[in-house]
Amino acid sequence: MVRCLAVRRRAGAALTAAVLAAAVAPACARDHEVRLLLGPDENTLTQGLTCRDASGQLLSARALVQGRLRFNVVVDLLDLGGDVPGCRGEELLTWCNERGCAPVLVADGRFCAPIDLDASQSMTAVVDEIYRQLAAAGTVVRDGPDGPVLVRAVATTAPCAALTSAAGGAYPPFDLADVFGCAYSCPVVLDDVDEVQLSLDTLSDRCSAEVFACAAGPGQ
Amino acid sequence: MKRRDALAAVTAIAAFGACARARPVAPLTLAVLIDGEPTTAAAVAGDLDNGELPGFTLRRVELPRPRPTPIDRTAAAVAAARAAYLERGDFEACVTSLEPVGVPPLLASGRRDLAARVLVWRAACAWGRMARAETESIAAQLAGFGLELPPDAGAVTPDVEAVLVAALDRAGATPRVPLTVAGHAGAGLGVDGRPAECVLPCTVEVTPGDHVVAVDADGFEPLWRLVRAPAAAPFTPALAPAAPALAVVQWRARTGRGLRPDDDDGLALVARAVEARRVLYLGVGARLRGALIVDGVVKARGERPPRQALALARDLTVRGGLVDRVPLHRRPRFWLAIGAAALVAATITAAILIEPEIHTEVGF
Repeated sequence: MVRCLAVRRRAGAALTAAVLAAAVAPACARDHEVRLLLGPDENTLTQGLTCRDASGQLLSARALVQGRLRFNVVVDLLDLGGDVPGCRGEELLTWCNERGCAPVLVADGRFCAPIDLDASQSMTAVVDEIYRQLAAAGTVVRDGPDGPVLVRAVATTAPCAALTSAAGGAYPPFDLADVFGCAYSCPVVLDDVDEVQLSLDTLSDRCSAEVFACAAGPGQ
Repeated sequence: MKRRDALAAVTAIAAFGACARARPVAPLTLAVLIDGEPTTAAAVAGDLDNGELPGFTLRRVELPRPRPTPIDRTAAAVAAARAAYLERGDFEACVTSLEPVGVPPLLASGRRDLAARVLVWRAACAWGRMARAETESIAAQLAGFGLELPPDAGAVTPDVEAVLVAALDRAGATPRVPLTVAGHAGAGLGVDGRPAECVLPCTVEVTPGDHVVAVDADGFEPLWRLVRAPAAAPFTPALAPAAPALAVVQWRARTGRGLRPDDDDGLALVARAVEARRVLYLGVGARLRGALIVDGVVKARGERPPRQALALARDLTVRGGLVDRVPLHRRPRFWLAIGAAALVAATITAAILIEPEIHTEVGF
């Protein structure tokens, strides 16, 4: 009888543990943070923000107002449709032509951070200031999508108000006349990484065409 | 798997388990016979008394005592006849002494020597009374039964002895005829007191005339008849079931011959001895050997350690068909086990398949 009770007690404990595990397992969730970098590291800006036009003039001159650089950085997550293409420009072009790479509509609203900085500062100071102001603008997205995405940042002089309100299930397109910089990431699953570096696929500093193509979206 | 799916599955299993229960069974009386060393048998009896066998009323039974053997006065009657003949020459008294003695019963019980002595003295007394035909008839009986002359024949007059020898010679010269006996297959057949001539059905060769045919089988009352050979049809005796006391005697006789007390035939005798339709036999020894006998037929057997009489009884009543084996789906423990297994499986599956949700916050 005692042995029987012991067996029952053990069985009861195992059952209880199983029930608890089954109940708790689905409730578990993990918080994860991803940091975006506008370049290969936090001290270097991507070529996508320092492109020149065909005449050799910096595109960022479009943001120069009375010795200050005033512009907005818009960050989009481009949905890759659940699969992962290669990272080369040509591969992304083919992929997005075939499947589309529309920006994901974010519940919190499209990230648009105003940047205002002294143009006479050193590049190091400019970079630090850009990151400081971007961080001050808040998070790009509180709960990123689970599937693979491209992260794209566009520097534009257009006002945020004109860019952040979605209409017809899509954000308004960029006016390329206002755009002076753009960079994007390789396809990435945000849940799996801690840091995402944005860059522009170019072999020259005269890369305005690549900037505009980036801002318009692959395949546009 | 969603949590609500798991919950539904567990609820369904619990519902099945709650509905599962054994069907009620009308109580049956089960005679229990415990056979073995008294102290251990008493302990086993105590275990049964202190426990409960659901669906049964247990009734302890004992084997009946054997009937006392009646005093046999045949030998005394023969001695009295001999004394009357030899010492007093009182042939009437000689005949009277032997009158109560039946020769066929003596032959049926295998006492051929005594039967021969009775017939020899009857012949001598008849001769003394000058009844020659009667003497010859008695001599013919002795020869017909195939009896040999006993030593007493040397004490009778030479005339009588001559009649007896002549009868034996005539019988010896007579061709044998077949005597066929049918009936209860396997029963032993004895003819004129010669034991185990054959087992039924069978045919034996005998001298023409009357013969004592005795049939004996365990579980039946022994039977004898005087049968005349040759006969037109086989003799087919109908055996009556043995009385309880006789069944005990037959059971003990089997054991005495080295047969197991709890073989099928032995247990059939036990059931007859205790006069019960349903008998639980428990043989107590190093192990507890049990058997369930229903209507004289062994339905189930089993063995357990000595102190597990109730468990053995429960097992035998189920295997013997006295109670329905509770189907698996009607056993609450089954559903408990299934539920536990399903829960464990669901948990393991969930642990493998369910990935925790990740809230990824993206920023600079």
